[in-house]
Amino acid sequence: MQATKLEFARALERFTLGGDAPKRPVEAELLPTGWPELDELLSGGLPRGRLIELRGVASSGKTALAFATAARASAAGQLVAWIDATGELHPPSAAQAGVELARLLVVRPPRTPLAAARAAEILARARIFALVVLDLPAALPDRAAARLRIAARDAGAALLVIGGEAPHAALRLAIAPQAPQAERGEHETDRRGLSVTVLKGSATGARAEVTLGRPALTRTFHSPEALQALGVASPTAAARAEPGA
Amino acid sequence: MRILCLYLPALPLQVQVRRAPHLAGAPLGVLLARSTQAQSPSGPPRIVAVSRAALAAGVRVGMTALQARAAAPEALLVDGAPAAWAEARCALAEALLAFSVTVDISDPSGLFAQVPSGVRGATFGEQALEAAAGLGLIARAGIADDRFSAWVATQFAARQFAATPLAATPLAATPLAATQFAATQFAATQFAATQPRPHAPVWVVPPGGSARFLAPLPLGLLPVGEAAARTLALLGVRTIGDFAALPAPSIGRRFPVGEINAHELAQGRDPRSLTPFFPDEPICEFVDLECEMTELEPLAFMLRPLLERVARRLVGRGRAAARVALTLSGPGGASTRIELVPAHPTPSARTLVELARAHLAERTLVHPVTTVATSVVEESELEARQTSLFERDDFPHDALELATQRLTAAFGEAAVFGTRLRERHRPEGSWEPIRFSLPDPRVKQRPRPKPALPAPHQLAPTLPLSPGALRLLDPPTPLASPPGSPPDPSATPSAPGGTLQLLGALRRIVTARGPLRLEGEWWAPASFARDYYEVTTDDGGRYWLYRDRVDGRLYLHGVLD
Repeated sequence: MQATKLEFARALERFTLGGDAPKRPVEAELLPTGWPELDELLSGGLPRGRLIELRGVASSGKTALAFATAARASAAGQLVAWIDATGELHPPSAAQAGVELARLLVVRPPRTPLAAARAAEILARARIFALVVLDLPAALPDRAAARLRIAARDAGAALLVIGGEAPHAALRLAIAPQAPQAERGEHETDRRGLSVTVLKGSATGARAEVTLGRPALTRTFHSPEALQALGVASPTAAARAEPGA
Repeated sequence: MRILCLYLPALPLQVQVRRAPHLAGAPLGVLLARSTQAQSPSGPPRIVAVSRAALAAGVRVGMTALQARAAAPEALLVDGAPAAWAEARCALAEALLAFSVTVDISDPSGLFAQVPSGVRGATFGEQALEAAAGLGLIARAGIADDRFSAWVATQFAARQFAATPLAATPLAATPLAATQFAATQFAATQFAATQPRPHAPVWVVPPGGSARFLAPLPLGLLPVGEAAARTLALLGVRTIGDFAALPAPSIGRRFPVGEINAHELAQGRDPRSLTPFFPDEPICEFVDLECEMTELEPLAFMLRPLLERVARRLVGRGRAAARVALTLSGPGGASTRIELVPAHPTPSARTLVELARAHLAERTLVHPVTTVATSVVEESELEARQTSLFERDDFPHDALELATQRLTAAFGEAAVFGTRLRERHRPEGSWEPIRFSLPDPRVKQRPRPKPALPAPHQLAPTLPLSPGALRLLDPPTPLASPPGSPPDPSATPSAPGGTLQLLGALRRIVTARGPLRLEGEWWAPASFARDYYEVTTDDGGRYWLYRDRVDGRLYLHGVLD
């Protein structure tokens, strides 16, 4: 269905009169996040040509979602830009999440939202980046957000803002970690539950539960069990070895 | 072998106008200091070249500055710089190397180049003239079987031939007499009739026709010396053809032949071969502005011809610019330096102009500009582009380059980068910034050994085990003890139930995993020894802490977001 819509929109664009008008990107293009539950909620993924805000507290999973989307985009041969206005991007972690570093451009502007917005606008106007992630230390000013919204629409790039509010975002998601359930021992497993809620968008109010597993590429010998076997078990590992404790 | 000669009339004047284009059309005279003038080793500096406007005002070559100012007070007299003249000739030679395998600049009378086989002389000459025009120089081209005939042909290739006399050959250094000039004009008229385009600046002597071409020309063009020419004239030998018809033994006895055999020249058999020119000087181009510029936008227009000259020279060298410096100089020694770094080494003037514009658009000028200079700081090999009908590359590399340059101009070169993993156990050192560029499929890459890079799974020791993306704090944040509790360096975060002040909030630790001991670089002063822990807080947050085994303090190093 999506493909049919896309073809129809392209055909319409091709036959639209008035060649001087700036070409608008087809709205139906989506960037899948790689999280099936969320992609289903968003009808396929994050929309391109939109300013998207991802809200969440520290350690809520915002960066994981951005990495997952960037990984899908870079694997599809698209370019991704990461505006690291917090200076906290760790490329090995991105590589572990599947991001092709060869297709990831990193910009570290001064740690202000305005500088990051300026960088994002330059990147969006280049019209070659499928995804531009703005990792902000604070909220975007209203005017800068409005400019970014226009730039995203004109360029057809998805501008994903994490770490700060974006006033004019077309899609706003809230992400939160699920509270650990220590009594069931879930915190000891290498799984993590996240909850993504659509605050603004076509499916406002809908929510998706996402479970993250341990990265496939991590080695397995560094575990409490291994530590215990090596005789250097931490108190946590010792506690786990005795379920009744 | 066919040889092209490029003659640069009034080179001192051209070099001056090339550097300061606003002087074109002005009554301009170029003075040369006496120390550099071979003909008049003593006395004040004399004028060596004048513009048409200055000529019309009464300024003549050979005048002193005083005489010139008396004749034309409005005339602008500038000091000539022989080094700049040589530099201009080198620049032209570099550009010619794009078309010819051998270029010779050893003769000050002109530049000589080998005409490639299979190329029409007139076409090659027009290419050479276009290259000269691109460098801001006006030239005349002559093509013949030998150097001397080619040089003589350049003297015919002037549109205003009827109005200006032939330049005295530097070999003969003898001004032509009035009768000789008339004979030359007559010969030129006859020769012009044989040319398909008599008014074109390229004159071609037909293959094997050098002797016939030279025959009607005056003897003064040959390097026989003034006394010998006078003696020959008394003997009735007035033209080169007459001289060529003399028996060789008698010439050898009566007129000692020096390095150059004038008799062979007269017969159209110049034995001198071409001495290959190899460029080795760095590429620099300058332009002086007419007035002080205080806005950057007009400068962008000035940059195009300047960078086109740089590009022509690069193409001639078979090189590409990896880094170009743009220096904006103003009065009082004020200077601004901008470095243009294309994503791929390029010889394209268009790309360099776009980059320069992107930089200028992001900057504010802090001082007026009077001189703009460009220099190639770093060169690279010019990689051949594969143009194939079936392997199309639709990716807009230019747009990427422009975007990175705009970002570089706005935030600095260090703020825009790609990344590469490194095999290091120090988490913050497990990657490094690199220059971001995408492989261009149009460029034929030479096989190069691939650097040994760690695979992502090899980096696992430096990453937490818990799922989620690690945000690394740089520098790590020392953790404060919870309020009300004394700091306890021996306390371990592996003990659940404790609280920690994390990111400004007091959080209760639900679980912890660790320690993972990372230590290394013991050979360096900044060695490290850390015990890492992954902790989960009651709000679901996961953090990466370590205890520094040197100072015993706890640090928050990352957030699993």
